[in-house]
Amino acid sequence: MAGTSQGRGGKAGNVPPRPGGSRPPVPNRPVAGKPGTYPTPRGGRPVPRASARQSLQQRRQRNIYMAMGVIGVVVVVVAVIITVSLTGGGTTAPTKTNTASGAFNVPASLVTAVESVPVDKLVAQAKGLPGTASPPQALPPKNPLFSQAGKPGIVYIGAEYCPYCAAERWPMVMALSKFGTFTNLRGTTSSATDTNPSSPTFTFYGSTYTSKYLSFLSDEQETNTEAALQNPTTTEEALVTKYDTTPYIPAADAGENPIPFVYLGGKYVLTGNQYDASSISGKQWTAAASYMASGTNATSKAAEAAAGYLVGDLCVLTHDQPASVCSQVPSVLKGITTSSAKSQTSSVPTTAKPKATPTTKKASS
Amino acid sequence: MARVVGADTRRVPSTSTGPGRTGGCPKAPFAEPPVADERLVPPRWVPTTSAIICLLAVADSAYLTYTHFVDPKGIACFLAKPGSLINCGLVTTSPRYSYFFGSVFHHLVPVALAGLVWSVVMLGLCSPWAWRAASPWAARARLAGSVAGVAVVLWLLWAELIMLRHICEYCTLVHILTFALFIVLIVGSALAVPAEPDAPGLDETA
Repeated sequence: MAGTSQGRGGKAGNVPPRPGGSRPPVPNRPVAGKPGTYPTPRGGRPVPRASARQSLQQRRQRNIYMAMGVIGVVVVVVAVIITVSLTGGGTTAPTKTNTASGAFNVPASLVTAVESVPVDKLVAQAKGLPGTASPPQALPPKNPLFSQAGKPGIVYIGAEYCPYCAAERWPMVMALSKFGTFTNLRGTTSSATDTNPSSPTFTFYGSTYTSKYLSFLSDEQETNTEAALQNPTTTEEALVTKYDTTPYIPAADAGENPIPFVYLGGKYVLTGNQYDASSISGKQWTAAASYMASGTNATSKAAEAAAGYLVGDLCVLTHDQPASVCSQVPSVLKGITTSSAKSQTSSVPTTAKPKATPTTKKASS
Repeated sequence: MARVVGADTRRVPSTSTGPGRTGGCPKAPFAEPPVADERLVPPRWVPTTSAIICLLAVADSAYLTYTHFVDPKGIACFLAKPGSLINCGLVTTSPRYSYFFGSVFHHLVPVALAGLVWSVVMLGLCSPWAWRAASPWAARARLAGSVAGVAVVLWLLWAELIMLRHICEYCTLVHILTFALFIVLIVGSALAVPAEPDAPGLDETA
């Protein structure tokens, strides 16, 4: 036992052996950098730098986990949005979605009042060729007849928020009601933040039109709060794109996918509204319906003239059917067209441009 | 000779506080730690990558801003087809969603312009000078900016995919760049290490 070194500072022969046996073995020196270990100098005090390195490593590890967690949360949110979008009703499918529109029920009597404005009244207003309303534009004669289910097809593409679509629906309902029947026509208002805010009107969303003479395809692309509502079919979108150029639309507005877009059997087209309806902006729907059906003010007269032009062109498409309607239309109105694009449009779904035509003073509701 | 302001010189123990010492305050028995640099240094690829991402975002949002003010419908939407999900004009001219708080403050703050301002600010914060800045606020501003960017991107994604049901290819590119910048900065922060104590200005002999 003597003569052996018993550890640090021990000298052979000078230190007696410890009572109780030999000294326990000295543990191996910890490996630097290994978790849970750190090198110690002879005095047993940890080296601060190595300790800092270790805590830095732990902090780094924790930060990496946290970063992964944060990124994961963002990825999950993105995935949820995409999933909701995909399951919310066929984004690219040309089918109607089920998003609630900005529509509301309106008194049937008032709907009937608008639908029942007599043909002779429409014709009388149109015959005067007022400067306050424009007929549709003619398409090249070689254009084939656009038909659906064996009947001349009328395509309407608009949106509930669009103020010019709001104006155009009044004469459309007046005119189309002479050739068929609308069911489930409901009311809506245009966007509260666009030109002619909150213009009362009809919405074609959810309505059906039955006619012996015409087929009517309508798409309200968005609600009045710009939520997606209906997607036009590829054919319908191709039509909009095709006529989104001069001379069907002013050069300055070309390329804007104009709405309202009304395609009348491949023979006539509207790339905007036919008249100015700014005076009904902000009115209550019931007041506006009475106002528009009255024929006693400039706006309703302009709407009637616009409807008269539509009836004249529709009679060409239906070959003067029904006779009860078309017999009242003078030849000067049959196939009446305008040669230049004067109407106002909303692009899809842009805000409307400032009006080029004089506007009437806004009436209070 | 000037005093050496470094760790080694401070580590000299000074225990002469007993009798015989005259004057002066007693010194600490152990050396004080060196003055720590609060600056965190990310991996070398982080500043470069973030600057490139910001440059691309500036270019993209500059184009979107240009089209917004000059030719809203003239945006070149190469991937759009009739009936497809992509429709740049529909997205970039939406009265409600092409403006911040479009339903309240109509036409007040265009999203495209806000995106350009954000990209330029982030480009400044991700510039080599900002990365070298000693102030920890540069890193904080960088991180806060990228978090704000991702929050807006999530809102825009909701607007495009849920409300408008169309996307714009340029907007989507900005969204991807914003998200990429967020990942780069977050990961860069996680991997960052404190600046070396012997960094310039710490233990240089004057």
